Amino acid sequence: MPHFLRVSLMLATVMLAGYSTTIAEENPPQRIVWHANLEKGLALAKQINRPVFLVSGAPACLGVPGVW
Amino acid sequence: MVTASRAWVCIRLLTYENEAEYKYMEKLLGVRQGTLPNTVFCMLSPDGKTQLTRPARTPAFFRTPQNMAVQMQRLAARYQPAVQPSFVAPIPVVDRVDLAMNVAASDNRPLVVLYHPEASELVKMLEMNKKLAWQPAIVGQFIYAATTGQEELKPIVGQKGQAGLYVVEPDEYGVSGKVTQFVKAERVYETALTALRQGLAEFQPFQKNHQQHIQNGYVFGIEWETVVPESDPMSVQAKQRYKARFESRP
Repeated sequence: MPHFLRVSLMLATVMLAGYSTTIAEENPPQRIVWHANLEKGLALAKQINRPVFLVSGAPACLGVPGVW
Repeated sequence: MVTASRAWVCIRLLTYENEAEYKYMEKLLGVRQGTLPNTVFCMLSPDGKTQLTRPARTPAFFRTPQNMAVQMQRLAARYQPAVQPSFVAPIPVVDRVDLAMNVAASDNRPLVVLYHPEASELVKMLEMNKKLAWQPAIVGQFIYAATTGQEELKPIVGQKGQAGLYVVEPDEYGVSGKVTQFVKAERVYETALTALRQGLAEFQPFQKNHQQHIQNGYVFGIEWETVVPESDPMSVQAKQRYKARFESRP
């Protein structure tokens, strides 16, 4: 597997923590809440005095959207 | 890790979709201008200035998710929350509807779009609904977007341009989506929770195969244009190789 794919998969594991491939959504697993804006996210962290878990990823692989 | 993350403000940037954020990450990672890789990871103090972990491409140095969760709990314990438990954070919206649709498809989650042509009314809607977004049954389950621009709703099949809250099921590639629930703006306060619950119950994630997804994307001619040109050398080369191989097929 190409290196960049391995690296992307590792980060995807973090991003999709709690995700499973079940079809039914009756009991969806808990998921991380992601803020998607740096300025607003940092301002919130400062306001509530919580540390920042920062990741970045591209929602496209080899130019195709819909996957990390 | 999800439990540990609740004591953090988790920010997931979209590497090539915002020039200012791209520059911030270049600086954070300490890479040459125009060479930012497509993934970045770092943990920071609440003021955003002190690095609690070294910036890297991934959190692989934690070795396991379990260890990462333990370290996250340890680090978070250094900081006392500065707000009352009743504090409710804003809804975490993605800046553009098309981008939010792509993120929702990538996460395999339903999308919620709040739309109102009046900015002040949209702000009110966001404010009224923020408690819902953090309810235990709802928290983390949706991707959110908010807009005053009706043209941003175009990729949503089944919308009639009305102000309100749309629950949308993205297609596999996140280039369009269909409305599964809609609540008019004036009824959002009373019925949004029901719509979200229903939208979640009805939602069926795709069973995606990474390689097949990319191959079919090329077959269907679906390509994503980023705001900032992709600059991860390995990813750029892989894309060129893959494209050349695909195009040379009989």
